[in-house]
Amino acid sequence: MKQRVIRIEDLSYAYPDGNKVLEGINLDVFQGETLGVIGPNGAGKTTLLLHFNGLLNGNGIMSVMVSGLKINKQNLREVRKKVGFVFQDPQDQLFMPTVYEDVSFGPTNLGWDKDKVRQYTQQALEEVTLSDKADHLSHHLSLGEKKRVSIATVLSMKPEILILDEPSANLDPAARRHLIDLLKTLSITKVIAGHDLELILELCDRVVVLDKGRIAADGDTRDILNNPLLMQQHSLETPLSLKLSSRK
Amino acid sequence: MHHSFSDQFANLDSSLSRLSVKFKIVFCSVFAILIVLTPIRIKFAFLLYSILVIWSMFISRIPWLFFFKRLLTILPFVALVAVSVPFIQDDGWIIFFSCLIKAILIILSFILLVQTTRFNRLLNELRNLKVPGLIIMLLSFMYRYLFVVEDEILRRKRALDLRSAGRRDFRTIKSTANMLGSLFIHTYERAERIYLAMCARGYKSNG
Repeated sequence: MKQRVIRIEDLSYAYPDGNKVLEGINLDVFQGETLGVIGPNGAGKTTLLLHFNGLLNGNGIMSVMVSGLKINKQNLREVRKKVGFVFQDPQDQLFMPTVYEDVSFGPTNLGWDKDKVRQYTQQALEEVTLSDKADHLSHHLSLGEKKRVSIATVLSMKPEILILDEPSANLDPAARRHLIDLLKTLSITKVIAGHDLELILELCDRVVVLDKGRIAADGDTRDILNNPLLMQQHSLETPLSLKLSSRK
Repeated sequence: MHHSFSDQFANLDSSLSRLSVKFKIVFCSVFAILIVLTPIRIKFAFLLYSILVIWSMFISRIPWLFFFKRLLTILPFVALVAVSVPFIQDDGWIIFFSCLIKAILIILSFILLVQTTRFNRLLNELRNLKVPGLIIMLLSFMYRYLFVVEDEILRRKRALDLRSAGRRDFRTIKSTANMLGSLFIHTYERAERIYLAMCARGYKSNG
């Protein structure tokens, strides 16, 4: 059996005003798999993802474990090195003036020496095929490039798990394809949240459906996406490609 | 979207942009202090300063109109501060004009500094000159997000113009105020998200 890298046990989260977002979440993520998190708007997808590297703490008990580490104040740094988070809006992810400075921000914070920082930064830029843009200013890039730089900013920290929130939002078809192909080449564990169900179908081995802060379904991507009733119940829709292939 | 970059001429090749950044920063700072400390009655010194500044403007290859526009945006603030002096003191007008001349020279030299240096190189050099990290971070965020906020203002203004159907009266002032309020909240929320993104990549505020 595959090794478990993230374990979430009975996680609940409510906003300070008492509004419950997550309730009794139990979820395991296994090494090397690509997990999709889908669900209607406001289902709590982003809130759930923010727990994966301790950016949010569930109320009460600490109930998230990463690579056998229980998330707490002492090992927060270690956990954040292991779990890389790519935010939905590259404008939030890229906050340094140049691409290079942004990609080296994480490694520098990890306290690595200069040579190691440079090496890992260049490696990460090569992985997203943007080595030639290292000196560019972030706001000069196209959205597709910004998205790939966002991924590089996390890859440079050599994470074990990659969390992506709505990776294909607002991308044109070519940039989206480039992104999907890029994600396919990365063999690390990935958790992808979003409404782009075709992307989820193409990349994910397993899918969880989140609705009103609870996990409504958890299973093989094709099985879940091919279940029209389940999809409809949770404001989702079976991807067209699946509908067409089942009609034949 | 198109932006007017705050260092839009930084990529022009001129003998000024090829100068060492450190030299430019130190020179501008010393020059500014020197100007402030020189009494206005030494006219020869100011003639020399002006020649130096105008000559630098000339070799920077930046359009003259640009300097003029930038000056116009900053000078009113200086004038506002200095304008009360003539009414208090006897030789107030001399002080007023000396303030103005000094301000113009200093502002021009700093426009030259910023416009002939790429902003990130400027920040790097400031870091080497042991300027506190927090200030550099603030400057770098300002440079990075000025355009983002500008974009947001532009989009909101467009939406407002569309729905106000060309009207310009009290009610549009009210909606402009609302717009600014929501812009403030949006900016605040963005700051929160950026902070999360920084934390996610191992940032610790005290180190």
